[in-house]
Amino acid sequence: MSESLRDWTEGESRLLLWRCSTCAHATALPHVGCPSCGGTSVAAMEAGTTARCIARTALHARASGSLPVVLVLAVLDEGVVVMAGADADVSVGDRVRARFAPLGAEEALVPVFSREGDVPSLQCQAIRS
Amino acid sequence: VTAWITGAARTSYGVQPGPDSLGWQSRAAEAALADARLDRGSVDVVITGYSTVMGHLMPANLFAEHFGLTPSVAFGLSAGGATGLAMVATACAWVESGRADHVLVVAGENRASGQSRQTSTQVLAQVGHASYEVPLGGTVPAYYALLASQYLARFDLPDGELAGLAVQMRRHAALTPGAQFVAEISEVDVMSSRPVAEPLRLLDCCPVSDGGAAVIVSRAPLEQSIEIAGVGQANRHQHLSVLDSSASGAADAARRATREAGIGLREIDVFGIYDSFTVTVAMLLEELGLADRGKSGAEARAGAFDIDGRTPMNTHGGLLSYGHPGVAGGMAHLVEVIMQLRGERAELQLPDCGTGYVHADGGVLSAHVGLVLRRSR
Repeated sequence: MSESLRDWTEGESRLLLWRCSTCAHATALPHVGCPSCGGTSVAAMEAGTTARCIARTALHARASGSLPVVLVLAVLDEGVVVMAGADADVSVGDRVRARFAPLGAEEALVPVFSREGDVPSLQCQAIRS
Repeated sequence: VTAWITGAARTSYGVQPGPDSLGWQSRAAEAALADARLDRGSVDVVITGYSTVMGHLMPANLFAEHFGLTPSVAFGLSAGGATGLAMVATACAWVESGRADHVLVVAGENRASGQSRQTSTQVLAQVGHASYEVPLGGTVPAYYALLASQYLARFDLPDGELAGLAVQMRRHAALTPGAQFVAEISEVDVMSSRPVAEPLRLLDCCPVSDGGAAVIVSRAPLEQSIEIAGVGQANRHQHLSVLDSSASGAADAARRATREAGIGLREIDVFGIYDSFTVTVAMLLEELGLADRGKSGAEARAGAFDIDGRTPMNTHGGLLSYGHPGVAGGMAHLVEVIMQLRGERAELQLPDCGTGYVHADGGVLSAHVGLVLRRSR
C-alpha cells in the first residue's frame, strides 16, 4: 500500500478503496486479507467521487455535534459501497457526487453526497446537539 | 450434538430500577439452577455475556465470586446480540468434549436504569467502523434504517410495510408474563409513532430494558431436558459497508444447524428469530427461507407468524415487546422456545410442539448463531 495515499479519515478530500490484486474483490474499508479468495495482496487506491444512492436515512435521534442529518449508502462507480452523509434532497436511486466538509464536534472531514448536477450548497444540512 | 438444556429462566424485562448487572445475572442464574434442580456446586463452567453498564475485563469471574461459585472454568464472551446463543454453542462444545457436566450460561444488565439513553446509544454505535462509519454520527438504529431503506427500495414497498411484525410481536407479549410492553398496538400506531431514523419509527425499534436470562447446558438429560440437536454459526463481516444484504451469513448458520440436526427448517414447529428492529426479523426470515423475499410484512399481517400461523415465531413478544436488556435479550427467545417445547406456555402454548429453531445476530447482521432444539420423546 502506498504510504502517501490518505483519505478523509486523515484529513484529505479523497475516497479510497481496497482491492485484492488476485481476485479484484474490493471494499471501502481497509483490510489486509481478502475475504473472497484469501489473498494477502490488498492495495489501497483512490476512488472517484461519483456513485448511486442505494439507501437513505434521516436521523431524528441525534448524535452530538453538527453532523449530517441524512446518511446514505452509495455504490461508487467502482462497484464499492460507502457510507456517507448526504444533502436532504438525495433519494434512493439518485446519481450522487461526494464532497468533503468539516463537520461534527471536532470539525473533521466527512464525505457528503449531493445529487449529481446540483451545485453543492455552501452550507450543508447540519444538526446541532 | 449431544448436549441438553436442563434448566432455563428469564426474568421480567422492562424499566425496573434496583438490581445492578450482577443482580440480574444472579436472579436469572438462581432461577435456572432451581429449574434444573441443580445446586451451585454442580456447575463446572461459567460463561457470561458482557454488560455494557458494568464493563469488566473478567465478567465471568466477577459473577462467579458474587454468586458463590468456584467453577474450574470461567470466561466472558462477546458477539453482540448473538452472544447468548454463541455462549450456548460454546457450552455444547464443553459438554460434548466430556470436559464439563454442567455449564451455566448467564447474562443480565440494568441497561435501562443504570445508564443514560445517550450512553447506551453511543456504546452500541461502536459496532460501526471506528474511522469510516462512527464519525458520520450513525447509531445502530441508523445502520438498520439504511438496511430498511435498501430493503423497501429493492422490493418497491411503501414505508410502514413492516409494521405488521411489530403488531404481531405485541400480540404475543400481551399474553406473556414479564413482558415490557403489553398494550395492544395497530399498524397505524406503528406508522404514526415518532420517527427515530427514517424509515424506522419508534415502534419498529426494540426498547432498552433491565433484566437477565440463564440456561444450564448439560452432558446428560435430567427431568424435562431439551436436546440441543444442531448448532450452526456464520461470521461473514463486521460492518454494514461490507455486508452482502442478501447473504449475510444467516442462511449459512441455519444450514449448518439443521444439517447437524437432520431436519429441514420448514419442518420445525416454533421459531425464535432475533428482532432488534422490524427490518432485522424481516431480513432474517427471508434469508432463512421462512418468508418469500419482500413478503415478511405482508405475511405478518396475514398471521403467518402467529400461534396458529404457518411459522409461529417469537411467541413471547421478541425484543420488540418482551424487551431487550442486551445479551439476555436474545436469550429470551431461547427460553421461550424451551418453554414451548416443555408445554409451559398456557394460552400461547402450541399444540404438538416437538422442535424449535432459535436464531440471533450480532452487530449489523454480522455474527449469526442458530440452534435447533428438540423435545426428547
